[in-house]
Amino acid sequence: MIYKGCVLSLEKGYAIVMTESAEYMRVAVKNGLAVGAHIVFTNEDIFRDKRAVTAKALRSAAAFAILLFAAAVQFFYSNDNVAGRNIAAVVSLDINPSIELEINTKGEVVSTISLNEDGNSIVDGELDKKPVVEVLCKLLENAEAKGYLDHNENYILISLSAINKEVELNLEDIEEKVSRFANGSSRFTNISFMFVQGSKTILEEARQNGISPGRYYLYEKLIEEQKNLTVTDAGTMELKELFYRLRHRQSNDHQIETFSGGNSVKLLTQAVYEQQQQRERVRIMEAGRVREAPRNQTGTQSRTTNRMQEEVENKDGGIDKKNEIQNENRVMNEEKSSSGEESGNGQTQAPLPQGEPQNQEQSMGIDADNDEKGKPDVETTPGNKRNEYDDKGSRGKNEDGGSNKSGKGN
Amino acid sequence: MTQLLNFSFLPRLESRLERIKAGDSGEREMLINDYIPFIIKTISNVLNRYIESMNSDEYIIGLEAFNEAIDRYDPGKGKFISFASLVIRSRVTDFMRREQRYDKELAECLPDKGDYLISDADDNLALRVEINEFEERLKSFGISLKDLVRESPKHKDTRLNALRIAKHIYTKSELKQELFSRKRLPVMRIKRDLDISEKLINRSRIFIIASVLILDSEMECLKSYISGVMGGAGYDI
Repeated sequence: MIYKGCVLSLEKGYAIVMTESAEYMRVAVKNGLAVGAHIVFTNEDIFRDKRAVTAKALRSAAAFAILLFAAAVQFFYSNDNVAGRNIAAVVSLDINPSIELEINTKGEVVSTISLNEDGNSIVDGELDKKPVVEVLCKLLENAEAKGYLDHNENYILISLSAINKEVELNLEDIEEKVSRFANGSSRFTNISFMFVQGSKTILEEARQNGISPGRYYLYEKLIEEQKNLTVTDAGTMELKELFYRLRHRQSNDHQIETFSGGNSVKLLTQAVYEQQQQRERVRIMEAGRVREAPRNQTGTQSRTTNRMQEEVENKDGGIDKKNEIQNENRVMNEEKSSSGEESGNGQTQAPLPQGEPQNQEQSMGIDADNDEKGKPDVETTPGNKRNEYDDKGSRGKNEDGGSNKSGKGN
Repeated sequence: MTQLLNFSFLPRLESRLERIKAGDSGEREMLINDYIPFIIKTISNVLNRYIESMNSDEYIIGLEAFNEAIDRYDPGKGKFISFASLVIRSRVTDFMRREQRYDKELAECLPDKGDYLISDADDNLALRVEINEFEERLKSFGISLKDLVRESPKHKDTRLNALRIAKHIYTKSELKQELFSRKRLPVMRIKRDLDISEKLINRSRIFIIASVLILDSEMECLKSYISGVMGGAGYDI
């Protein structure tokens, strides 16, 4: 673009020119420039105020910075607050205090996030840069010291969600060490641990919903069957209730979760539990098939089978009976369990009727299986489910008039 | 900017040069035309002053040099633009040296060299006085040339409209009188006469006033700019 113009005035650093197209422009000063001179100039000669340019540049730089900041904020808050901070994994601990520990690749705690107020109270400042197991143990101690653990039954949920593959942490390791720690101290009695393997997705979802990854994991497991469960429920529900529900669900997917007991409670993995369930199911089928046959079996067994026959034969009456049993069961549960879980029982009872006869049968019958189940009557069993088993067991005993205790103890 | 433009046209430029070398004279004209801004820029950089018109000796020399560069360009030896720039620079520098020598000789030959110089500056002197007066008159309206730069309409059509208003005021003596005496635009009258929105008038206020002042002056060149923008219609002023 060529401009032709006439110089109107010389200013400091530039000259004002009126161009052929009746524009008033500023051009850079060159030699021999005088008012009234006609000049031919190009785009390059148009004077640009350096201050204006800097101001403009500043403005755009500021805008860019804000944009960048917004993007960063978005990035941190939307997905995993983590990518930018070199966090390799997140471990969550739920007692009732809920805490998230952000872990670096070396397995050290980089930061602790309290998910509730109780969480705040058990976090003290000296947790950073320590190995995760050590921190978990310290938190347990703090929780105990602050009275979050009661003496009868405690449920502790620990999850590990790896973000980065390089992290030198595995769930088994944490499980082993934490269990050992809990078992090694007399302060921790009657604790049921659940260790769950989360994932990046679970972590992200959990953070979006404002609950711990551990709880979110349980929620995901439970929602498959219990559609009416909400995330908020999963976040606020007592762990006991969550554990209980989880043990009652019929899902096959159980490879990545493990249950383990504290001091006095035997390690019971979900897998073993499921196997048991399977076996029981098979057994009840057998029982149904050999309806006619069991005369030649032992008294207790045949009586059980008779009872089952009754149930199977008169469907209508059977249902009544089931309800009866259920009610019975519920009463017992209510007696046994603390008030907190009552609300849940009504819902969770639903899948029970199928399981009911088998439990009875089991408690009455085959000793070897009971051994496997490894649920000592005499020991304190904090698991709600376990209590229930025992209830049934005792009911069976009453009915039978015999004792299975010897068979069940290990 | 020009360089950026050249850069993006580079592949095309090479092929254009090939065609010119093959004897396409129309293409040569077009290429030179396209590169006039480049030529002007180069000349003005060598001289470190603006060339005064498209008829000036320096410009002609530059054009010739560019033409020569097209002929002598060897694609194997780098980019055409830098080569052309080099040729223009050397030709213009040569020309400047010759000029200086000629001026010296002339000054020696002519004892009344003062007259010669004055006659050169004479054309500008009248204009310069006029421009100063124009600036003064603007000031009486509270307008500086800087304001004019800042607040002139950027868009060509807006400018044209504003110039029409200015011409209208200039031709209607009562409007002109009102403007000069009351130091403000007779907005309502203009609105009524030309059916132009008040907003438009007020936005171009400074530019309109300046244009009226130019039309009302003896600055032929500036007046010709205005009438040039307005097309043939402007010449009857």
